[in-house]
Amino acid sequence: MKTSQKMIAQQSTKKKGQIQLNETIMVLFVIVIILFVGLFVYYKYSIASIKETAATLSEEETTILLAALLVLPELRCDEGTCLDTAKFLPFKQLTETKQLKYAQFLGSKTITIEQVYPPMTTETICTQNHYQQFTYPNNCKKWILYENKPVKYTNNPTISTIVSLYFPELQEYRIGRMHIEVYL
Amino acid sequence: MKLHKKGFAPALFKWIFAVIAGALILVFLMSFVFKQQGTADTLDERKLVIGLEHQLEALATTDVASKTLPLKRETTLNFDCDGIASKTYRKSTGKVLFAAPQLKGNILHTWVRQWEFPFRAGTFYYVTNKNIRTLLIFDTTTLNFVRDLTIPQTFNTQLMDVSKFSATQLLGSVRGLDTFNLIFFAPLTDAEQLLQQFQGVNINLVEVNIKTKEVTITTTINTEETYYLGESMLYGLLFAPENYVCLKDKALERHKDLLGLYEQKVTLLIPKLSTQPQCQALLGEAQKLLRTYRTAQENKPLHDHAKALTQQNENLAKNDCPTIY
Repeated sequence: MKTSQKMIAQQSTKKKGQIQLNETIMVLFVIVIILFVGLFVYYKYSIASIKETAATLSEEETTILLAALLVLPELRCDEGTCLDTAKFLPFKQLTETKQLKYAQFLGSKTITIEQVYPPMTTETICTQNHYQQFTYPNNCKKWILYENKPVKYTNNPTISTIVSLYFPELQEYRIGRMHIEVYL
Repeated sequence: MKLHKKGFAPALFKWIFAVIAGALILVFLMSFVFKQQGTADTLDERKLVIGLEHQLEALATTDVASKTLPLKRETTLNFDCDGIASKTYRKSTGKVLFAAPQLKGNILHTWVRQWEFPFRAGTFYYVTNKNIRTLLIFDTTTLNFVRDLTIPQTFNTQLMDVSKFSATQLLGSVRGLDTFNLIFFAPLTDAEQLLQQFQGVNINLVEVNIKTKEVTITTTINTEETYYLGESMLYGLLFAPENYVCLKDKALERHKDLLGLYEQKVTLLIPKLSTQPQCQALLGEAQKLLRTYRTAQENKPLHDHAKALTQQNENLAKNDCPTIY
């Protein structure tokens, strides 16, 4: 009788110990879960913050680039703050032949310039053929100066500024707008 | 000791288990913190290098500008011909950035100038700090030239008459510097001996001939014969003799690209000026000049072509024709 009571008591102690151990495992499990949820939230926040920093830097870079392009020797007039339109087609060719070099400087962007005033009736893109025609610069509206469009991008904001365009063959100034489309 | 007495063993196991699990969690958290610290440092360095490039780019929108840039903390930046690098991040740049190979500290002095030869051919950037000292030695023939150099006051630069120059007197004041650039606008008779006298100092010796625009750069590693094209390039030589030759070549490559661009511009313009034969003839001459200029690689032909191109551009302007640049 005593022996069986002793065995029952031993078994209940064992069970009690197992329950306590299980409790500990459960507590630890819950702590680990909470910890991982916390880390996940923190990582999400960190990544969002890093992405925001990258977007800010990219925006800053584009704004600076817009100002820098106006004084770029490849595009600007020698005197004054205008753009020499006779350099546009050679510049496009240069960016294509020296693709790597200009990609490093300009990145994944499309840079275009359009004539704004006097208003144009056409939407045509200016090419060497248009340039050689007698009706130039009234036969085309825009120049694509640089084009580096990636296959995949999530966003493509565009910033623009008004520019003064100089046509050396006519010795005439017109008003234009430069657009920079950024691929993010 | 009876292991099963009153649940002693399960309690012991519970504690051992809790300690091991706690230690594992602690190790995990510690590694997480260190990783985060590393990420934050990398991010900071990226921001610093990119920020520096943006600041320089912004400065370049004006013809000449200088600015002192305070950094958030003590940083070591490495500069070479192709880019800027911090401890964990390197950014390649197409900029012609004249700086000593290594700048340490929390303040940078920057300066930006346009390079014209004879047309505007790019922007030159100069970056230095107080631990890079440049001493310009002149004689009676170069006194006016050296005095007329316009260097920002924030740059650690001084002038000295060659007759007052004494290596032994200077030695004490240059010992703690990161780099000491000794620029001779006067004949330098024995560069090797001078290097010996400045033993223990990171010194660069430069001898400039302002008449021929020829330059000899002597560092502790080697001696190079080269030249400069225009005042802006000369300034680059004063602050970054170590990287000068490579940066000069980089600038010349861009110059060559621009010559090609101007040649194409002239080619496009010629047929458009059928009503102005004189302009067509002048532009035709300019076209030939630009073509030969592109092949020039040495000091004298480059200077001669620049002079001829300036004259040709002036001729075109005088005749009311579209100019080359």
